[in-house]
Amino acid sequence: MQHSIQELTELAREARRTTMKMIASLGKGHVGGALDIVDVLTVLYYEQMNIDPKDPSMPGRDRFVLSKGHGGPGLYSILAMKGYFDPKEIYTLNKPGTMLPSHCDRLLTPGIDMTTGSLGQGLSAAVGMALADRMDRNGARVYCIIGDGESQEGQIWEAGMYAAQAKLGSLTCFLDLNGQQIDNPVDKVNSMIDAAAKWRAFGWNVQEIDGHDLQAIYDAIEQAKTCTDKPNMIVLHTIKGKGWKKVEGTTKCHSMPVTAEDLEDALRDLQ
Amino acid sequence: MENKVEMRKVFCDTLIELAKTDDRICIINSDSRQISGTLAFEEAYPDRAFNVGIAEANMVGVAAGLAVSGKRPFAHAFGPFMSRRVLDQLTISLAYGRLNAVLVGLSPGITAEINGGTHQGYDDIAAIRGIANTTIVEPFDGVQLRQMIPAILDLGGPVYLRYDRGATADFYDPDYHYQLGKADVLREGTDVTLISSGIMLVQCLEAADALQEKGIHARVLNMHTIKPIDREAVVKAAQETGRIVTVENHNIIGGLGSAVAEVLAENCPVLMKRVGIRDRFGEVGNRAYLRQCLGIDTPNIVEAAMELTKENRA
Repeated sequence: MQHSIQELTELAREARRTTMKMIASLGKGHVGGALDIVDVLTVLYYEQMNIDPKDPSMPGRDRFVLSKGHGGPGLYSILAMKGYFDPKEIYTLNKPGTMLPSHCDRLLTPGIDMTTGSLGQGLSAAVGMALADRMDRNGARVYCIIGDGESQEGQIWEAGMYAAQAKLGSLTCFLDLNGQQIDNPVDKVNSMIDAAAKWRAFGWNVQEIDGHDLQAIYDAIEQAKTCTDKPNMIVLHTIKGKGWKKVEGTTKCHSMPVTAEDLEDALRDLQ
Repeated sequence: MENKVEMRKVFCDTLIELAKTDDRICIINSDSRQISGTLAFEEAYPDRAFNVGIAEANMVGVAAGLAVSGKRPFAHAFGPFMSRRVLDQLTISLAYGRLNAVLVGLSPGITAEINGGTHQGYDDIAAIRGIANTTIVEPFDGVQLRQMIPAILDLGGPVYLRYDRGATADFYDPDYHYQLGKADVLREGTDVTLISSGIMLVQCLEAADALQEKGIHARVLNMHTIKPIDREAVVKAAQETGRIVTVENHNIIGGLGSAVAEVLAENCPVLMKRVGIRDRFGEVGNRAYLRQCLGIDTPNIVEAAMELTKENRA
């Protein structure tokens, strides 16, 4: 590993602080779903992905699709820290003329590989990207994050079925299993019942880990790399809103106001 | 007897030819390898041909992933499943992201014949026309199709290509020069203009012949690019002939007729009539029967033109 777990922990903490500052600057946003993916993004962008912030369109690079596009702010923090754009831009989140919209837009933000925002579509794009890498024989890897609420969209399963058929070993998808969606906990709406079992039944190589354990995330990705004839699913058990204790695990943190006091409270938790 | 060519063979042959020098070109099918006529491409380029099965939404997303990687994918399905079924996918994954992909809507409208009302798409153009950053094209013959394909590869957004894959007589000469967005005058005329695209041009030309015998000189315009429409050609036809009849294998709501009406109303309002499907669904039948029962046959076109020009002859 290029960094120690200590270093990665501090980077993840900084990304969470940045995410909160970003959302607080506007006064509201998708707090829960942005915070809970910070750990996997930290490992991906600091340890795993073959990328160059100075050359966001580097051919043959590893790529990432945030299918649950509303998690944008979490990803923007990492991209800002990695140097894809001026960190001061974070204060423009969702303001008129911004390069940082709620939902990831590759035409607006350097470092974003695919535009998403209508749930259920990003995994299909990730599949197409992996197929293109195969055509180009460039050895690149494609990563994707989908949500458990998002998994209620049928297209997720269309993509899942086909990825296995196409034996897309270069594709690694993470399921952000935080158990929450807008209306209610997922189990009260359309339960996944057993997410890992579903993906295994779809022919994927599946691992289940604590989505906030940086070492476990790193190790799981390493294991995924050894599987070349099946696409990889890493089920992340996460806590929506992880890092800001007051909102952790709540339904309401999907999209919520963030006042100056809230920001102070969150930053205290993230010291 | 005119020489007819299978349009889907022209389509596939053209793709194979282009793929020789353009390694971006690839195809995706949705359990549509046979109906799309692309088996020969698959054979020639097996690692550039994908079949996602009966999953059109995924197919559009996969096309987006290929396109964002620099490829130029051609996706295939029957018209309704390549348009209204995947409207959000083509909008968000392709149009909004300015990604290049050609969505081939097979067997448009009456050409779906005995597949019946569920497969006869009379609303595909209407559905897609309102999505920003889309292009809609409908070729008339093999000569035009052959030149159309390379012209629609790099427009910076999805292209909906609607065409009848069956046997079609060549209208254009081998020296025809195709221009995306520029309507072709198939026949000159001064009394009324018939504007159409695709298969209905056959009926338009027949109607022009019939009108000629009644002393009415009808211009026939091939509006092969429905979006963006050739406003100049429409305005010119309005100014020079004063009467417009649009003819479409599509609902009169939202398709070519509506697009022409929009241009006329803003630039040169003249009386027009829309010959097309009058906001109803189709039914099982061969195309000759369907033309009759849905009111888009040659006599319907003649009647519309005569209705418009009756004061001139009174």
